[in-house]
Amino acid sequence: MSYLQLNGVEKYYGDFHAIKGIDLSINKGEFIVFVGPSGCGKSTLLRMIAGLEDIDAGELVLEGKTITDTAPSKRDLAMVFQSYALYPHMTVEENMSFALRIQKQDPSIIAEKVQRAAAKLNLTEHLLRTPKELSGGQRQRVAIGRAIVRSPKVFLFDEPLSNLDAALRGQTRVEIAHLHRELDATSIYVTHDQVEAMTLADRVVVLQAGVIEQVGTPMELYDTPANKFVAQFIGMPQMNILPFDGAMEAPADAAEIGIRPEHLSITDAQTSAWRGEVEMVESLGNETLIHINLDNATLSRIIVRQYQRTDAKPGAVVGVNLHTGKAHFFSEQGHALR
Amino acid sequence: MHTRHHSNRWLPRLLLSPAVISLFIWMVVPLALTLYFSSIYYNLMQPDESGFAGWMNYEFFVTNPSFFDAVINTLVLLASTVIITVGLGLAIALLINEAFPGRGLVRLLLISPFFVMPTVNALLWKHMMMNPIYGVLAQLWTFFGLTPINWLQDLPLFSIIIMVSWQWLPFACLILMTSLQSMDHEQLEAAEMDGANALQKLRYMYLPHLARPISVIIMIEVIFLLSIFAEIFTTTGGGPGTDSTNLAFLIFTEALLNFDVGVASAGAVFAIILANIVAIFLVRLIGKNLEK
Repeated sequence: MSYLQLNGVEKYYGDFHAIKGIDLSINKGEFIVFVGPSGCGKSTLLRMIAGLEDIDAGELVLEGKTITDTAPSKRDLAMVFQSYALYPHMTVEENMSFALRIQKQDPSIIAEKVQRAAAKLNLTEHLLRTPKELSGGQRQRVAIGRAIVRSPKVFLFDEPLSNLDAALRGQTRVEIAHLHRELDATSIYVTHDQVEAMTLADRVVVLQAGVIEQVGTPMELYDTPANKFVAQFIGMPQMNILPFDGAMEAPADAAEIGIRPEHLSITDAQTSAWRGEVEMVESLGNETLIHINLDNATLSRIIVRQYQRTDAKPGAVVGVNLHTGKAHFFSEQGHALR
Repeated sequence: MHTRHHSNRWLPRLLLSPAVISLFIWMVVPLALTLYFSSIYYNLMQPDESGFAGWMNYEFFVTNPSFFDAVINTLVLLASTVIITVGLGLAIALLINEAFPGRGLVRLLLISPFFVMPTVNALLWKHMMMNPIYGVLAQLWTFFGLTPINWLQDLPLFSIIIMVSWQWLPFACLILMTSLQSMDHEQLEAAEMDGANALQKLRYMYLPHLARPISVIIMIEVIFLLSIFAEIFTTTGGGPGTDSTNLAFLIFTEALLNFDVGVASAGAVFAIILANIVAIFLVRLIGKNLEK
């Protein structure tokens, strides 16, 4: 049975239909990531679940109880904001205990919960400092601590890593994954960074223009994207999309063919399926990305990823082969065909 | 090298000195003259009496039965106006913080009393609002079947407090309004998710955020309100009796009604001392806020 259920949830801003009927069921303990390009409605959807935005149509059910119109504080959810939204005039301890103090809980229980969360997040020695005395990563942990202390039914994360620098982001990502395993808490996490989505999620929800494009485990999304949008959104560099020329066995109605860069390889120009001129070579050490302008009918540009180094120079003519069985086919409308 | 270093150090100071010296003279000369006048017999009505007076002027001023009333009235006027302007200013600023049609116009109207001259303000209230026969308030009281209040006669200090508060409310409101604009929206949302109700948000989110602007308001208002004069002069004339006489007005009475420059100067020295006492309290109370 699903833990948190969204049934046909919609949102309008005036005439703008921001969220166009979202159906989603989330299981207990699951780590769900909403991912999509900016403006796709992922943050709006999270804020609707949190209760910070009204739900215009549809319903939201948590543990069998409808909470569509419940006040945010009564939903038993905790949110980690993008800017952390720490209370600047309160110490770390006061920040973390605020919700419990508002609920007038027993001070000894509050102190114990705060201590436990602080220990978990490595914040014990900073409890008496104010947020502005902390580093970005520490503030981030306080924001998470504030959520943990409340032991909510669902954790909501709104792009929590976007204010951190690259190194810290990687580190904090691992910490969040670790924390999730430890707490076994149901979490919904919004990000525009597909690496965060792929590494953290049990299931990823890909959103575009207020519609769910696909829901699935990271590997499902990677291996069997439901449509061209998901295929191109997940994976870096993007999947190569070429017009389908009928040169191989394919489902009927196939209009385009998609191949991930690692499923292509450079071969001898005489015997290969495709031929083209090398435009640029990106050598990253562990992998090499070779940009090639094909000399097929549409002069498509493709990227080949290989894990050996190459001495191909820009301007060289090379052949490109694709690995059998790794191609994706898309219809005129962009749906995946299998 | 030596000369260059030398000129480097002295040139800026030399260039600053006209301003510094003129400001210094501006402050020191009146202060010295006040201290000097407060120590001599100097009454325009008794030109024959002159010479060093010792503490006589001070004694005379302090033992004046009006003195104690004036000190109390000054403090009451100060405290009530600050409390009213900050309290109401906060309420209004919070009220118009949310966007609504016509907000720009409402803000403009709210700020306008600050641009009315103190004398004009006092006359407006005296004649238009508080006149017991044709004043707006009297009409209002009559409409509800009540006996109109003779404001300036029966509640002189309270009337002055109303006038001054009306004048200074826009100032408090303006500063608080702009400060509220910089309130972090996500913080309020976090507080809402943490279960804080409106009052708790005010207590734990808004007031700490506004502590500094409120300190500034109190500081500036105290500076100006200690020496309120025009409103009293144009309305109650300090009366009835000494009911609405503050220190500034008492000094005026001594200097320009009794023509006793010596005693008035002694009063001015008392005013300086009182201002310093208030300032010390303020710095203790507020200084911490400003340091943050």
